[in-house]
Amino acid sequence: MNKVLVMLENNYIIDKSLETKINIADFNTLNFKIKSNAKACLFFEAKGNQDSNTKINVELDENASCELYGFFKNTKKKTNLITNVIHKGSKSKCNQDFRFVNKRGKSSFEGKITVPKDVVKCESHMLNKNILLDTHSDAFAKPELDINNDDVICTHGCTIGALDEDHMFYLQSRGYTEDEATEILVEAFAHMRTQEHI
Amino acid sequence: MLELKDIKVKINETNIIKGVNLNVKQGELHALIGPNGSGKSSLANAIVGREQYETTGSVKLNDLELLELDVTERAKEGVFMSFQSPPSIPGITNYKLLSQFSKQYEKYLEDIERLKLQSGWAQRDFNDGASGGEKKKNEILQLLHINPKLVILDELDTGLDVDALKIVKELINEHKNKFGWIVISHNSSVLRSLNPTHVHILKDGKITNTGSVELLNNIDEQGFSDVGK
Ligand SMILES: Nc1ncnc2c1ncn2[C@@H]1O[C@H](COP(=O)(O)OP(=O)(O)OP(=O)(O)O)[C@@H](O)[C@H]1O
Ligand SMILES: [Mg+2]
Repeated sequence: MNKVLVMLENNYIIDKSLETKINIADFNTLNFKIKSNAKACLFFEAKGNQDSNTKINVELDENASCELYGFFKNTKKKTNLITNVIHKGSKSKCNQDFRFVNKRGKSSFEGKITVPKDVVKCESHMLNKNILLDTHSDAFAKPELDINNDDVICTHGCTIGALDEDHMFYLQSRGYTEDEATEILVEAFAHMRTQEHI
Repeated sequence: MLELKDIKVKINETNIIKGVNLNVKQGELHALIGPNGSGKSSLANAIVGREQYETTGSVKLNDLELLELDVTERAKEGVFMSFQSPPSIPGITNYKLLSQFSKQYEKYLEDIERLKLQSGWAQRDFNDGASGGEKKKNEILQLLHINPKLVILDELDTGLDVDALKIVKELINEHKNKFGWIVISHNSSVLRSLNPTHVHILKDGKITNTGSVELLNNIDEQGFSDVGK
């Protein structure tokens, strides 16, 4: 990470390259406007014990690109996140990857991608993965694609489930306790997000 | 060292292992061979402590009843299994997974070289994108750093090329006297080359024959269905 911004307000106009970490717990709404040819890489997290409820709006001008990553551990808390990505300009790109690990916690992710009729050659990906560590946890996911022409590449995916039983067994058979194995797999799950592209 | 008494294993209400007795002493190598689906892996997993397997009877490791311990505790007591199909776990590196047991990074790198794994292996994600043979080598790599008492190799040889097999055989021979061994394989010539002290045939959840290396020759000549008839 080449730059860590302390976000003080909720409107951002990005006209060059920016890579930054943002604590969504501080905001109800965050607006990003990525200008032509600019590149943004935004990492979201939610610090503290309080619930958060945040909407992230992203507008992409021509040939702009944006990576949105989020990893949230909801231990006895709730994170609601809405993303709204609008491809305003042709050839704009966006990649979203939001992951939640809930332990006696809840998550909700609603992601919307809009590509207007006359905006072409865009690429937009959205991935949402949720791990529920116990039966007291919950995850809600709602992807929405509003794509109005054929000349786009757009994918979305969503998973909700427990940790892989075979992975748990494997780690435990190597001497890790259940808690240690869980921790390793959660860390692995968080680590993967920047590498995986659908 | 390991003493199995009347082991029965039920998986999803189906009887898979139907009463197995087996004694393995330190320095002994027991070859376990049998048709597909006869229960070799199920038996191995039950010894390791797979929770979903309803296991009855007695499994004693140096007089300690393993059936009363969970999988982690059994591992800590010295049970090690090389998995028939080791998983890939992206997001954690090969070395990180091992670092709990072994801080011997230098030795780890030497072992990687000896096993002819790629030099960047330590920092690659655990088995991620690894070939079948590389995954098996990774199992051996862990064995070399864990130092257990009982070693179960479930079809370790499947997927290994001839050179790799040779190295693995050397490694097994080097460590042979330190552990008790149960080696599952479909390849009787591989088993023969390990000089097993005992050979067992598992058929339909039961050990039907026990003998010496001779037994392997009989299987080669007659197939499973006619051996012991
Ligand atoms: N989770 C499960 N649910 C139902 N049946 C199972 C389960 N696991 C194993 N079995 C069944 O138990 C039997 C024994 O399987 P196991 O994997 O132990 O055989 P194996 O002797 O190791 O075979 P192979 O030589 O092919 O590896 C098989 O019929 C298999 O389908
Ligand atoms: Mg098997």
